[in-house]
Amino acid sequence: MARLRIDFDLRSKLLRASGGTINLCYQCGSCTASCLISPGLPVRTIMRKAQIGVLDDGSSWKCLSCRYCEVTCPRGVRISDVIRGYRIMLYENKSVPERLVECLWKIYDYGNPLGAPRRERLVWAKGLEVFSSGEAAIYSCCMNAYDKRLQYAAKSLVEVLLKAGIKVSVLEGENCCGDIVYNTGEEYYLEELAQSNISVLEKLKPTVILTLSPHCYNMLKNIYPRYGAKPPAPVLHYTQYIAELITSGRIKPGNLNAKVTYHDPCYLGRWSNIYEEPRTIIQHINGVKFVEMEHNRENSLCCGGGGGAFWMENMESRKVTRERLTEAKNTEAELMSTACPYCIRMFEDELKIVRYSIRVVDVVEILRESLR
Amino acid sequence: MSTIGGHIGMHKIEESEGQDTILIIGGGIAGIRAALDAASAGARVILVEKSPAIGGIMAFLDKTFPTLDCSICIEAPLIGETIRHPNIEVITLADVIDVKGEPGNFEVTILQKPRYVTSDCTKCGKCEEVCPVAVPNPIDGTSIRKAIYLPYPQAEPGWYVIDIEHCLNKPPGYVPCDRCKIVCDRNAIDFTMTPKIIKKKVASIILATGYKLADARKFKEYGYGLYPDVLTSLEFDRLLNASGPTNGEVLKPSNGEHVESILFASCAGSRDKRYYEYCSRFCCMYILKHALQAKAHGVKEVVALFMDIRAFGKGFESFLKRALDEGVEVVRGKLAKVKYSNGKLVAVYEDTVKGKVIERLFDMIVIAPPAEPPEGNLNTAKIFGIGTDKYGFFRPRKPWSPIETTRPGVYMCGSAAGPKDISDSVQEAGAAAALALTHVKSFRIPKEEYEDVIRDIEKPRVAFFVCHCGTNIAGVIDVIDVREYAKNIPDVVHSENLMFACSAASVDYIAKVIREKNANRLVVAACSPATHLGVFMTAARKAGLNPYLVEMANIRNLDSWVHAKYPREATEKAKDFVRSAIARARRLKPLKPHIFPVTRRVLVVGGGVAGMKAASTVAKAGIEAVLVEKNDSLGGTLRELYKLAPEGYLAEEVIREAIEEVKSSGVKVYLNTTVKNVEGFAGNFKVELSNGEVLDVGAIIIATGSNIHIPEHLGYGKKPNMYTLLDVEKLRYEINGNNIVFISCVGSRNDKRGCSRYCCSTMLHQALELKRRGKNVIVVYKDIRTYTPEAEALYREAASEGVLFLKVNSLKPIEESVIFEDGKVIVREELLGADVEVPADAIVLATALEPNPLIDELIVQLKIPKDPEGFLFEAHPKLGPVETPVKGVFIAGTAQGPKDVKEAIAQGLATAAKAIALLSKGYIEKEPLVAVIDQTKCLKCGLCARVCTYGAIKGEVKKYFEVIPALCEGCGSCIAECPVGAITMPGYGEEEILAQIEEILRESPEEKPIAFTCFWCSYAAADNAGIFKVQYAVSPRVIRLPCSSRVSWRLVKKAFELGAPAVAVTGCRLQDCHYQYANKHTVRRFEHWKKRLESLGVRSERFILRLFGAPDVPEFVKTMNELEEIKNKVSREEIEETMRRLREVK
Repeated sequence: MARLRIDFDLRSKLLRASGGTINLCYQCGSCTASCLISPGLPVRTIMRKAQIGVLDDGSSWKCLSCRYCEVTCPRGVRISDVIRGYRIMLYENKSVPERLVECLWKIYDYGNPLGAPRRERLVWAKGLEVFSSGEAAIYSCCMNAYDKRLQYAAKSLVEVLLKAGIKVSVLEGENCCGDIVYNTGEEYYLEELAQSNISVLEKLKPTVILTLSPHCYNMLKNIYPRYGAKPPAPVLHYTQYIAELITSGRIKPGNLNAKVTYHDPCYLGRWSNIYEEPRTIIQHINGVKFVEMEHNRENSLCCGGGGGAFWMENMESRKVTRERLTEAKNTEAELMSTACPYCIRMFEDELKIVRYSIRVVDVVEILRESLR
Repeated sequence: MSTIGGHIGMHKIEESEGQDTILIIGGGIAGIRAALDAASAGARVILVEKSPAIGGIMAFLDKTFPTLDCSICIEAPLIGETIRHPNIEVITLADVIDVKGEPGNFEVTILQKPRYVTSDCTKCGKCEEVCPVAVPNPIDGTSIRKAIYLPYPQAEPGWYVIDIEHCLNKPPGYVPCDRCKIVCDRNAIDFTMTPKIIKKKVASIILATGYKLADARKFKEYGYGLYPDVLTSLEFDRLLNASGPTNGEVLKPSNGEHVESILFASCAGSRDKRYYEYCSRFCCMYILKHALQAKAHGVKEVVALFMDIRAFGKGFESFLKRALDEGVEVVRGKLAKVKYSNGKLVAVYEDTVKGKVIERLFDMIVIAPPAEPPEGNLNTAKIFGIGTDKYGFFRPRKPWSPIETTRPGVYMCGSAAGPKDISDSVQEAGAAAALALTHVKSFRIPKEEYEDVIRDIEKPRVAFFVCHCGTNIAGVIDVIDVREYAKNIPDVVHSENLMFACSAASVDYIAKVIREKNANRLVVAACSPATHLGVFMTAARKAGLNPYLVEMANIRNLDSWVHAKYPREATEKAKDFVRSAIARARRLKPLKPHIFPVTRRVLVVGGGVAGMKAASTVAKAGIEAVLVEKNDSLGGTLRELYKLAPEGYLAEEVIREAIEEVKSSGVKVYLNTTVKNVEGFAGNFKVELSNGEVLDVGAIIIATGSNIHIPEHLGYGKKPNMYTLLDVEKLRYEINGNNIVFISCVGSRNDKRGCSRYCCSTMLHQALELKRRGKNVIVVYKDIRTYTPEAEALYREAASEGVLFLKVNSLKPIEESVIFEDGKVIVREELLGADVEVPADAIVLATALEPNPLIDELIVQLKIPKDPEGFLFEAHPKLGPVETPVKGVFIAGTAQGPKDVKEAIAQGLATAAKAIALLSKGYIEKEPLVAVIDQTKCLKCGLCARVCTYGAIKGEVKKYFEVIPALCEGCGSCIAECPVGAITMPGYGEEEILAQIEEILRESPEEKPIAFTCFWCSYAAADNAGIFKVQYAVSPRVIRLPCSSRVSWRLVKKAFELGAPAVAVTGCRLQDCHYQYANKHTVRRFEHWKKRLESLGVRSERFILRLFGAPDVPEFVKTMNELEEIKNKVSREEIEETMRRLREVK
């Protein structure tokens, strides 16, 4: 039998990382049993190792950071924080998946994990009436900025806001939000990124900062302030802002005859507790027949792209993507809406293989469609 | 009969209203027990129950753990006693709505809802048949009941009740239906009843409001409510029960198919931050019970999921082993999700020892939802002005006294203060009764006065009545024919038919007839003596006839109800029963209850906290208490403790309070003294103390505590850094070193011993204290058994503050999982599947509690048996936790088994209640049904003494043997054992029963198989078969006996000799015997007689033994039909041959 030693230092580090909750784990295994990439990720065993102070063998890289397990945890353990704690240690020991290292370098070199040129960052906004300062600043996310498909979502957002008579500004010199950097624990570089993004934002003098990606939303709103980078205005996910515009009557959604379902992105739902606003938007569109999937809100499944999985590509996460698509298909909806660029990309890529007759769209895209 | 004197040492106070009364809220087992304890001690009791019947949840359970007793069988006698007790007034369908005043003088207002059915109801059930409204039964959720219903077959008060919310007649008559009213022969349905306000004055109050199971729909992951084959534990219990929705078969609610595989999931909402943080305490054990029962019902795959198996009580650990031995798969894990696929349930969980995620198909999944406070508990707390804890249970005023609420004079017991199992509830009920009694100012022991004016008994003159019971009897049996038939039976001086023999008017009429005809025996052919003999005994008393000269023929439950389609045969059977009853009645003798004077003094052995509480409570009730302590000071083990877990209060506070009470109540204390010798029996013991003093005492309470296991084999005592939990207390937690390792279950949970119960909480408390002093603290454990809300909170606190927990195998001795090395221990960590090296500057061993060997001599003198672990054996693990099999001797504290301080205090108080109840009257009264040895016939062989489970027969071989009436309980086993028929018992002697057999077999004996039944189980099952109207073969004839052990060779032989085609001996299952396992002799004798019969040419098929419980109607019916089949296979020639052969045998 293997012999392990208790490492009290490691233990207390992970204890701190989880806000003291890791020790509450009584090892019931609900997390492992409910894990979406089960049985690939031995969540309970990782928690046990953390309690004792034993290094992880690298399995924590598989985690999608979807926090589905945390919903089932009877002890309120912040499992994703423990996983992040472990990732930081693994990073320190240079035991990081190669693909992720590549991403980090690309962010360092180009300001985005795609390795796309900096000068093309604002190509997406070409031809749109945007300003270098204004009421609403849009923080675009690298994916929405460079990915041809996802640029459409960003454009749609601007167009919708313009219809409501809102002056929109975009960020000259914007960098990646650093979500991946945060999750690997490159603390110094993250600080640098955060500071630079905030100083760009400050120049725009916005009254509100809107993000397209829930990942950027989490970084700007919750993580940046921890690194001394306080956003100059309230940070909102765009669905929050638009839902408010709709309910206050500033935007009157048009007509769209379609059966629509909605997928809660993990970082918008479980991470940020934003469940109702996207639904508000969809349900205000005339002609839309809205249907829920079997798992929704707190119990929503994952697209399979979180926790860096988007960049690492593995079969286990693809299984998760497919499971969610099947649920969507079972609703017989024509459109599967969501509000996260990773989710859209994951689902669309998998759709090319499974060939379900369902279209994946951003919530703002169907709103834009209805306004035509 | 003499009247009873007042209490010694207590002024005879002018009885002022209410000062003699205790109010008890809740008629579950805790409320019932508290009511009986208080009422037997002489207090008046008002028992208020919200529902239409008392009995609580226990009445609906199939079996109880760990003995697998039939639940209602052991509760029903207590329910009956409560209803009949002259000091207890039961108010059902009622709530207390206001409480004013202070201890000794409360004024309460009770609101009673109308029942719409009067006490004239005979439970005939016609109303239920015609009621058009069907409502889902809230108890099991799956079956249906009508708007007029009986809560459960044995329910008391035994009248139907109308669920007015669902009744079409909802007064004042919305949709006039009246079907029940029209069909009721007794005119017992009264829709004009209105709610009643009842005002009462009481001296003290006990809340026994119990718990309910949380709505399992809240816990979405289990799919309860979505998938019909996911059940709650209570629903599963009903499914197992013979009177449940499937008559005791384990069937899938979805399609009625038999269940092949079943999963039991613990902590379905308990110990869960999202739902209920505390442990529900009893689920682990009932899951094991259910798992075993499922196995017994033939379910092939039985899996039980646990995290920490909380088998902490007495006998629980061996119950776990039994479940494992019988093939229950016990898996460590928690059910995460239930899915549905192709008609099967898919359970998803991780086997955390194997580290594997399991997706397994099951036919049925049973979840254990949390126990939560009953509906409206916070409002109840408001009405009574008492505090609650954060979960909504009532909160104790002092952590060590779980019986006292925050308001003086208001006490609580059972699950009112957090979930408790039956035995813990019963023990707290006694404790609450003891404390409530301290406010009672005057006591009364009611005595029914009557005079035997009819004295000419020798020549029987029988008054006979046959009851129509509306059409219940007369609809099937030709009552007039029976009446006329009885007129021709010798010694019958009067024969008459009555519409309802039990109505108040009929009872008076019967008394009048007895007087007028100067009858000296009364026989009533009606329903069951179990429910109605008391009514006709009252008729006898009213007539001046000795009530023991009354007999009944049960022609309703055992005849008209179960042979509805065979009126002719049923009438013939009724005649047999009538002849048999009259034959027995003719031989009855007038009796008087045995009265024994008692010494009103209680000896308490052991001056620990349990003993001190017991002694001071006895003294407060005005009974002299003598406390004997072997050491030079009071306090026991508690003196060595610093703080008490889980709350962390100071031990010295508890001792100080207890010593003050001992002093102020006037307990006589003997220090440095032990008991040298004890003789005598309940009420009259003679005790010799080590100081030479000899005391007469009426009751003895043993509170001699236990010893701490000293683990020398681990080097304890030699290694300087090795401590026990007790050492850490003594050192006031001053332990050197930085890394402290606690090791649990040292000396407990091994081959010899079960769980020591106190240690987990104590260990966690110390671990947290040391952690807070900046040390690294590691706890090595098998299962964390923090079964109270406070203890579970302590566990959470210790964990969140950084105590490290390492789990080892639950079943192996701890020595196999921990290796001690220099400065470290190696732990076989089960959840990682690895050896973990733990630095250890100091090792603290959580050691077992062991029996105290110093009292061995005493318990031999008292004849108290020991349990398999060597602790004192209680009378009944569920219902008699502080009584011993020896009447008048009680046990409190850890002498009975490991427990914590609160539990020891509760037991101490409970024993006080028992002792007070025993002695308060000044005499002991006993049913006169005791065995008598005819010295002229007795061979002095001593066989009778060997089978007496009460030690009630004393004597010496070849010299003498006699029955001590005070100890005899009347099972009759000795009669069956006596080789020469020298023992008799009033009403149940050989002569009476032989006469009954003769009468039954007088005509066409070859048509009549004989079934001997035990009054407590098989006879009750026969009664229940009637209540359920289950039809069975007419031919068998039932003979009622006190116990199956009463069946003797002479009876069996007589039946075959007179031509019976078959004979069945029926009785309780072995563990359910009401006479301390006397029926083990039944089994032994049966085997012996069977061989003997075979040697006489009687085929073994003709003689059968069937053991089952009162609710097992299907078993009873099966036995009856079996007898019919056997009868059909026995030829006349064979019977004649048997008769001839047996007649030759002497």
